[in-house]
Amino acid sequence: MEKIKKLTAQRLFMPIFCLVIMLIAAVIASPDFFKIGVQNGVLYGRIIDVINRGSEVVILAVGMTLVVAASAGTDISVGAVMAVVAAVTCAFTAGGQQSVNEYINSPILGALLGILVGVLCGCFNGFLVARLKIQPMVATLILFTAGRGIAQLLTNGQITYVRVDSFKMLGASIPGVPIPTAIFVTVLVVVLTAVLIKKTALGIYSADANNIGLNLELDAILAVALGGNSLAGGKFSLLGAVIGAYTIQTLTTTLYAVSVSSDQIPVYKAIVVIIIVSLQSPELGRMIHRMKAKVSASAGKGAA
Amino acid sequence: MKKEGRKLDGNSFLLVITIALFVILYLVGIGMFKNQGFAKTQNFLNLFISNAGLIVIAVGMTIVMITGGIDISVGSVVAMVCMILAWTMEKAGWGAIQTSAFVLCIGLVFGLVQGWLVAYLKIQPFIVTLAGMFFARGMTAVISKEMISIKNETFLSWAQCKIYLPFGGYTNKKGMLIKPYIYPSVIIAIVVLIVIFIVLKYTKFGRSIYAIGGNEQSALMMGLNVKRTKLKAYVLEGFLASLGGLLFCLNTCSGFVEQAKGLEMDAIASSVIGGTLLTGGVGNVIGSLFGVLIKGTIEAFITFQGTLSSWWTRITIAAMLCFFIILQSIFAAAKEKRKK
Repeated sequence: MEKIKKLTAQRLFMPIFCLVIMLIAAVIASPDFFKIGVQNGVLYGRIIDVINRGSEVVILAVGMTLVVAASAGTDISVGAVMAVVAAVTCAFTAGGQQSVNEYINSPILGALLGILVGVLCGCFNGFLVARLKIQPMVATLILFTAGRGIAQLLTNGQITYVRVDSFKMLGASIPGVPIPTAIFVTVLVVVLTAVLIKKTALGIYSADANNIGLNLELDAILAVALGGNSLAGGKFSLLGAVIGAYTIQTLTTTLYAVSVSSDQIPVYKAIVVIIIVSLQSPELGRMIHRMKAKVSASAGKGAA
Repeated sequence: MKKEGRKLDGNSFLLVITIALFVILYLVGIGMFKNQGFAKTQNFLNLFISNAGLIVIAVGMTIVMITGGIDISVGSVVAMVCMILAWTMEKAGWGAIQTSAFVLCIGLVFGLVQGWLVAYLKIQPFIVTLAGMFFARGMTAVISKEMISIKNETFLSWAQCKIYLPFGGYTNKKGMLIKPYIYPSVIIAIVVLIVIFIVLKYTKFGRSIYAIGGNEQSALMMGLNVKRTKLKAYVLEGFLASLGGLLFCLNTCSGFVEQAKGLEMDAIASSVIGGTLLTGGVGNVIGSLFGVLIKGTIEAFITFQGTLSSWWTRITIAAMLCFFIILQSIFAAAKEKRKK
């Protein structure tokens, strides 16, 4: 009993517990969830899918955790900023054309330019929050509103394609290496952030040029909350956010596996999230405690 | 006492700026597009016609924002309401009155659940309504992934019932007098605006909302039932969101999954531009009305101009949002200084 109490008191207990439950549910829903195969020299399987697709959410969740911890606010503009960064990178690499089969400009330069734009967006948000003391949610609302518009203007409302194999490498896999590249990027970002955090609290904005982050800000915020980080700021755990991100991704992949269509998935996500967040709420515990007290009090009266 | 007067001055000053901005924008529009009919009374009324739903939703948003909360689920709720209206009338054969009453009840329940989670379980409003947003949008897809057009005659007669105004008419080239008109939805929106204005200003419930938003701790000390008031605010807001959805549906007469995407941001931006503080405690539905009208005017600009991409609406609104937020923070900083 003592041991169990000690275990549940751990900060990371709830997030890990949620992830485990999620994984069990996933196996029940689709028994071949943990099956891993090799296809075209790349590891393949649902669990790999979770880790791979979860990369964006993990990176965003890590950045979001820092923002939440430092400013007690949420950055709701991450998805829109991702869209801008992706638009900048692709538009630059493709030289402003809609679809290219070879680089017009250097992709590394494009990526750097994209990251620079991302950092600039971060600076803008940071300036509003830190210097002008505007609530983070309000400050990032500006870019949230404008971001997608700017991205659309940059690409003329078209989808820009960069059809070059080496560009796809970051999104898929490096030839000969069986692990999807995105996982490397994720690990790198998490480790770098963890190192950086010891010295200073910086917000990191990163984006994958393959995907425009629609609704990702929501996933990222949920990941932070699921990771047991209080959205009111203060203490935080990067690992918790990472676990939270994978929990969300497991949920998404499981739902796909049981063939729920992509636009219906949000219903289940919402229900699961509300249940998990309610469980984490200390108020619920107090409420149940009070109810128990009431019941036992009335039982006592009945006995007397 | 003097301090109180000053504080009101700061906030009403923001309201004056918002109204002035709207008037200037509109006058510029008249100057630029006079030949295309921007100056007609009908063009002004069109602002209300196409934004009737948004006015009601922005009013609801203002209430919640005054308590210090936020509701980002409204856009999805509008989509869900439109879909339910379309589905029940076209696929299940319900009457227009029944189904309208039904969606308003759904709005109440939606508000009740979100309000309970926010007020009693003390989960951040942002997270709760984020889940609400996911839920409502997903539910829309569960009901039907295809777009459903409404062909119910009673509903269409509501949607197309023109109410002609006795003033502001003009005679066209053929010598016919053309009177400006509005739809019933505009009247509903304005009635809602007036009722909520009175409720916020003169009732105990309205004043409690301001007190809670201003300082929850002292509101509690004063003996206000913070939890219940918050719950009521969210229930009212849920109801207004579904009513707004109903008015929105009268404009579009259809339901589809992607409907009203981003509407929550329009509503929040309108409230903020209208002088509502996201920290809570300060806000005014009249300001929110002008916020909506400014957004409508920018949209009208882009329509009249013809060549600009519709994305410019979003960018202009964001720029304006930025301007007002910075203005608010300057006022807040000045107030802090005076206190010291």
